[in-house]
Order: sequence, then C-alpha cells, then structure tokens
Amino acid sequence: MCFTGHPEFIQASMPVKITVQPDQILMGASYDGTDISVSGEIPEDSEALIRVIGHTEDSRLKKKGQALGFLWMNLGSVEFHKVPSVFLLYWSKGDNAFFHSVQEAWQSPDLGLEAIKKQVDIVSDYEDKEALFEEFIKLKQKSGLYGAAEGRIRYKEENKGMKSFSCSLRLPSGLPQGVYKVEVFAVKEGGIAGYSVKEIRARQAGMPSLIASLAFNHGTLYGILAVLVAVIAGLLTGVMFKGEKGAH
Amino acid sequence: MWHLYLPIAGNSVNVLLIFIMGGIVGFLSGIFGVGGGFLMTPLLIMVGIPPTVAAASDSNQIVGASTSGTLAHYRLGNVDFKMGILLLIGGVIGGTIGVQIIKVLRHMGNADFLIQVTYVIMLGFVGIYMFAESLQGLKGAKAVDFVQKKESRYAMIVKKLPWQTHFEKSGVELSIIMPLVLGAFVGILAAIMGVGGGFIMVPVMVYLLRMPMHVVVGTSLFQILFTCIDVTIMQARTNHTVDFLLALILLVGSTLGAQFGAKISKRLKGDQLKIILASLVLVVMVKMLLGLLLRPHILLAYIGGH
Repeated sequence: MCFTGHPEFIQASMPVKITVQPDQILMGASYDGTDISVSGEIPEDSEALIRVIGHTEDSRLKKKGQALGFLWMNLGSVEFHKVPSVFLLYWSKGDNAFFHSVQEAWQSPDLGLEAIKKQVDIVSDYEDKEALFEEFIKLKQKSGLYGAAEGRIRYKEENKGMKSFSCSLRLPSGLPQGVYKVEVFAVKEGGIAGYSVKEIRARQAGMPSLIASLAFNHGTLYGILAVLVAVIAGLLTGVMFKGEKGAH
Repeated sequence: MWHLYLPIAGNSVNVLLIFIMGGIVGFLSGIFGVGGGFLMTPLLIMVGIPPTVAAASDSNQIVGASTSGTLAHYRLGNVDFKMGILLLIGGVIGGTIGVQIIKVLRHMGNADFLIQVTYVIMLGFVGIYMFAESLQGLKGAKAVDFVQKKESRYAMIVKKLPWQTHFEKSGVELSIIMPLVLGAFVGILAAIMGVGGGFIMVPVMVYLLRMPMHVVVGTSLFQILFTCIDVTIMQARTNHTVDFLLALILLVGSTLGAQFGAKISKRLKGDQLKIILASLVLVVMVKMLLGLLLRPHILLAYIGGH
C-alpha cells in the first residue's frame, strides 16, 4: 500500500488521541528492556499504525569483505550519518491490514525504512549503498533496535465514530539513552486520516547513572578504582583459600 | 530476576551466565597461566556486549583473576619474580613499539589483514609445536634425546651472552638480555593482536627460557597482572570503555575459578598441562580460521574488540 506523502506534510483531518505509559523510562540496575503501553482512539473506519523512532545518530562500522579472493575479514569502514537509533513499526492484523509482510512494511516509502533512507548519508569506498543499508538493518535487527511486526494492536469498542485501540510494545535492553517519538497513524483508503505523536525519554538512573558519570567525567580515577577493586577481590579470594599447603 | 543493567556496555546481562563465564576462564587461567582474553572477549561479544567494552572490561577482570592466581602460585613456590619483572620491562618496551607499528599499518590500510593473519599463524604455530613437543614428552625417552640434542646447541648460544644471572625459582642460568628481548617480542605481538600475550608468553618461557612449566604458569600470571593494570587504566582514561559492573561479576567468578585452576595445575604433570593448553589453542585457531573462510551472516560489525 502506498501513501500519498510524508506524515509531516499531511493535513490530518480526523482527530487521534493517544496515551503512552510510561512517558519516562528509567534504566536502573534491574532494567532488562521494558514494555510501553500505547492506547487511544482513531476514526472507526481507519486502521492504526504505530511507529517508534529514536534520535538520529552517526554510526561508524567495520565492513567485511574478501581478501585474496577467499578470506573474509574487515576491509575498511562505513559511516552512516543521521540514522535513527531505534526504528520499530507495528500494525494490526486482519483483512484490512495495510502491510502484509515485514518486507512490505520496510519498503513503504512514507512510513517504512525507505522513508528514513532518504535522509541517511552513507560514506564508504564500497559503491553499493543499497546493499550496505540492508546489512545495517540486519545488524540493528539482531540487537532488537529495528523491528516490524503485525498483530500487536488490539481494538476495543466503537463509540461516536471513533474506536479505541491498545498496544503493548517491547523496548530492548540495549536501548540507548535519549528521546523517542511514539507516532500513531490512522490510515484509511490509502491515505493518512489522522496522526498524533508523543515523546518518551529514556535515561540511566540510580547506580548505573552514578557509575557512568564517574566513568565519563573522571576516567583515570575510575580506572584506578576499578583496578583496586579487582586486586582486592583477588587478594580476598587468596585469603579465603589460605589453608592450602605451601611450596613443595 | 538475574539480570543486571550495565551502564557502560549499555545493555543488560544475566548475572549467573556472566559469573559462570568468569569462573570457566578464571579456571583456565589458574591452570595454564593465560589471561583468557582470547576466550573471554569473543564470549562477551556473543552475549551482546559491544566489542570495545568487552575487551576493556575483560582486562579489568584479568587483573582480579591474575592477582588471585599469582597469589595461589606464589604459595606453591611457582612465581619467579626476578624473571617476571625482566619480562615485564621488555613487554612494556615491546608494547610501545607494537602500538607504533599498528599506527603505521593503519595508515597504510593493512592493519586488519595483518592482525587477523598474524593471529591465526601464531595460534597455529604455537598450538601445533606445543602439542607435538608435549606428546613426545609424554611418550618418553626418544623425546628426551631430541630435546637434549637441540638444547645443547641453543644452550651454547645462550651461555655466550653477557650478564649471566641465576634465576633460583626457575632453576635456570641465563643472560638478562634473554627475558628483556623475548618480553619485548611478546609485547610487540600482543600490541598487534590486542591480547595480554599469555598464550605467546607461556611457550616462550617454556621453550626459549627453559623454565619448568609450573613456574611458567605462576610467573606468566604475575606478568599479565601488570600488563592488564596498565591496559585497564588507559582504556578507562582514554576510551571510557571499562564497565566496572561487568568486570566485577566476571572477576568474582574468575578469582574463584583461578584458585581451583591452580589446585588442578598442581596435580598435573608439565607435559599434561602443555598438551591440554596446546589443544585449547588449536581449537581457538580452528574457530578463527572458520571465521576467515566462511561468509559471515552480516557484513557489517561494530568497531573494537580483538
């Protein structure tokens, strides 16, 4: 299914109400990924599509290739500029589903990764930029930072021309700190009938935040402390096992 | 319930899994006198730790394991401090030269190719030689004749060098130039390959310095301890890639593992230790070779690691 344009240029005529819970993700010591709940109302004759996009960043990666015709190894680097840190796409299942596969979702020129690809700048000696971008998506999918899935959105009652929806999304444990946009599109007859966006913020908290602050702001002291703790742990273990026989 | 979020790695891990990984590598460290970096870093990358953080945090944990191992071997009379300090001085000089070599190679664009190929060749050479030699040693008399014949020529060359010193713990007499030069050689290779150098240092001590295997293990751990202290502080200061929480879980496991490894090491003969280490090195070499020959699933990778 093809849409008529990028959401920012669409005049959404129908109202879309959304609520995102929680609106802040605190990554403390026990953080292992988290579920966020997106709910709201869309026009009853439309379908909901939810997109989560992270802040844009630059990424420098190693590129593997063949040396001497048969050895696979790192043969250079590739830079990706202005790529989203996270890209997640969810849509409802059923006869009216507007994506019928993950591949179709990725290739959507307005809502999928094709839309993002326009703003991404790839710097590499390797000429096939399409192939590089595909490899980049694979790498991000492996860590759960890019993904697409159908069937996560559930609809409830219809009331006065609107229907309520809810969706539970899983954000991965490797989520970078930053601000994330949760976008909801109400799609109808090949066009976007409604749109709303909410921001959520992810940040480290508690002990992880303290350690990160020490590591980045007082690197040498942090390194010395890390070494001291390691030496003390080694010595303590030695004391625990002190009852052993000496030299033979 | 068993998960802990690591702030520098930027990911969460299963504490029990990391503890067990630390224990296994610490155990191997206690038996063979290797730091275990060539095993631990790839394992950490497999569980989702970024390569640069895996390598730097692993150095931190090796400090703990090698402290524990050195202490255990010291009690068993297996640490030659005199030899260890000379090897360390050579290692620091060699490491500095090695870093410069890498800079030149990176500028020429050949660094990664050289590093990968050096790794496989060194692992293969060390593993095969050690395996063959220790197998002959386990078989008995023939091996002794072979070694003695070779030893006399080598011993003649070594005896002619100046500044001969007796190393009491190792029971050898040789020039101080030997550990300085060999330490520097290992330091250069370690800098190129990005490892602590234990799996190169151990064969160098056994075959070129003629130290008994049990003293090699303890002395190697002593030398690795200081190498990794330096690497940990440098990585924390320059790259901010040491994840202290990760290193803490690993070193709790590895310090315990190293103690048990030292006990097992006591029960095994020198040739038995050598042949097991050789087998381990060959397994790692085969894994690396397969990594070079088989097409990877993803043609992009994060920068860092070994």
